[in-house]
Amino acid sequence: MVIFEGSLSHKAFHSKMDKTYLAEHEPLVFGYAKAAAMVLFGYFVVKLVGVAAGNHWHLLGTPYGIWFLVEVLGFVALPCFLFTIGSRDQNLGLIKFTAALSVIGIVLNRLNVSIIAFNWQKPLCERYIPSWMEVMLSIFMVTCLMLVFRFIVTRMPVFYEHPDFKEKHH
Amino acid sequence: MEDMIYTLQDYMLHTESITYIIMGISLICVVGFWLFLTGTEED
Repeated sequence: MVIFEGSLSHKAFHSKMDKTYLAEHEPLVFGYAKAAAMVLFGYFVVKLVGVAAGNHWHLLGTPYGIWFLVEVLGFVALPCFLFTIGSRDQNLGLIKFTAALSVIGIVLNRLNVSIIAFNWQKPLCERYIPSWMEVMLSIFMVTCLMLVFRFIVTRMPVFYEHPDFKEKHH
Repeated sequence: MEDMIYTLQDYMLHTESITYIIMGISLICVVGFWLFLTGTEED
């Protein structure tokens, strides 16, 4: 998420960033990619242990099981592998792509938990489907957060050091 | 021949055995994964 957000900030606020920030950005991204690869590896093992502990192997062949495999293999194992390759080869483009893939995976996981697989045993007509007002409210909140973020970084020294305090390092 | 599960003891023994085997293999794999991840780094 940090890599993805950082990439978007780089596109939108590149002119606001000072030399120190820009110089430290790439090594930071490679470090995050390495950490993300390890975390995703651990998460993959946790998911595997979850299936084993519940003895749910036979459910993997069902439609919901296949959807679970899509989530775990496509949005956990694949980003883990791509972060590893990106980190080894110092490939910034691959790491940024993988970060976007991971963010999609997080969104997919939350949708699976809260909407797609929620009350899965009930018929579709009895299941929870968010109304258009709930969707609009979510979009509104995300837009507000982005505007607040933009307001702060264009008016406060977030991407650069304040000229009055350049000499005063802690 | 397929193993039948009749009691909770059988079930727990079956699932815990597989879980512990997976955890053991994962602990060995994580070392290899870390070495692969940091393989190209210079000292």
